[in-house]
Amino acid sequence: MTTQINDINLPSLDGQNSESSKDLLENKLSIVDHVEVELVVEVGSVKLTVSDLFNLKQGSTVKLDQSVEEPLKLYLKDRLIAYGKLVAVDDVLGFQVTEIVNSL
Amino acid sequence: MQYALGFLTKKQKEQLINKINEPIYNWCQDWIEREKKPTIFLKNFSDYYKSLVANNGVFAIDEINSVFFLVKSPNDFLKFFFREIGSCLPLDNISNFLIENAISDLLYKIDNNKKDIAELKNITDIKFLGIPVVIEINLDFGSVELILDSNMLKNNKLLDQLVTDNILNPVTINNEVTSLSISFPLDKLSITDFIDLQVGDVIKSKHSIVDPFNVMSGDKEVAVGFLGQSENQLAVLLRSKEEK
Repeated sequence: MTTQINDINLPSLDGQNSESSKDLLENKLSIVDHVEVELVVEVGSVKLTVSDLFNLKQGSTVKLDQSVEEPLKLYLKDRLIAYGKLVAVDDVLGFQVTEIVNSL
Repeated sequence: MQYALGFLTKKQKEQLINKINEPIYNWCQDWIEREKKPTIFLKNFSDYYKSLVANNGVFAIDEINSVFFLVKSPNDFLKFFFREIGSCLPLDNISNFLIENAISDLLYKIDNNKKDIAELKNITDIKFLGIPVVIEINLDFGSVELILDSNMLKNNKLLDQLVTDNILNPVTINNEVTSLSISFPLDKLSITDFIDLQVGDVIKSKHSIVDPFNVMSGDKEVAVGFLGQSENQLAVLLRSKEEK
């Protein structure tokens, strides 16, 4: 038996985009529900000079730029998602949402 | 600046001991019986030692000037080379000659790279890069004391050499601004749970309420901190990350 080998000519797809067409995907969120997101609680930060950093001692107390009354910020990567406060959930820390900043 | 041995963490003290133990045993092998090991104590570089350095000087016994041999008096050498007969030696030229040779021999033993005492510089003004710690080594017939710069614990010898050579001066960056920050991740959420997030919802983390937080400077963990408050601001009590 003889095997034939031929070149393939791919068709041109130029001009085939149609913005008015119906969306390809339905129930989009259910498709990506296996994707997990990690949210990070920013407890606080403080600016200081390199000299001050180098002079920190064991037992030094550093005040953060976060007031006790102010809510903490919750981030998805660099995007601020919500405000809230720290809570204890059994023996681990949790974050209780007090204000939503953005929604998808 | 006040230096205190208490500044060192338990782990750092252990590192110090480990760092000096092996060479100490090697240095002392000619003076002690094999079954007798030297005991080592760490002490603060107190005013007493500062005055000793200023008055008598020290000998640098490593290339990057982080270990110094403290000489209190010529009797230190008598103790090691003539032991008990030291007190019987007359203080004459012959004794001085023997002592000088003993010093040379001792320094040769503790630093094989330098064969001549003339190569060793007697220093009265030490510039420490880290925390100076006095190491007392007790042998069965006496003790020697070394001053050790804790900077030698750092592995980056190249940086140490650069600093020592004044090519890189840390003082020049003292006023640059950096930051410390504390954050922690929550348990991962599915997209659906994330979209449904509402006021009042609680998201757990794996961070125990009794564990300290990682304290970061940029993307580097520099310490751990226990969260508290000070003057109505959140604050952290810092501990070495080695103690985590």
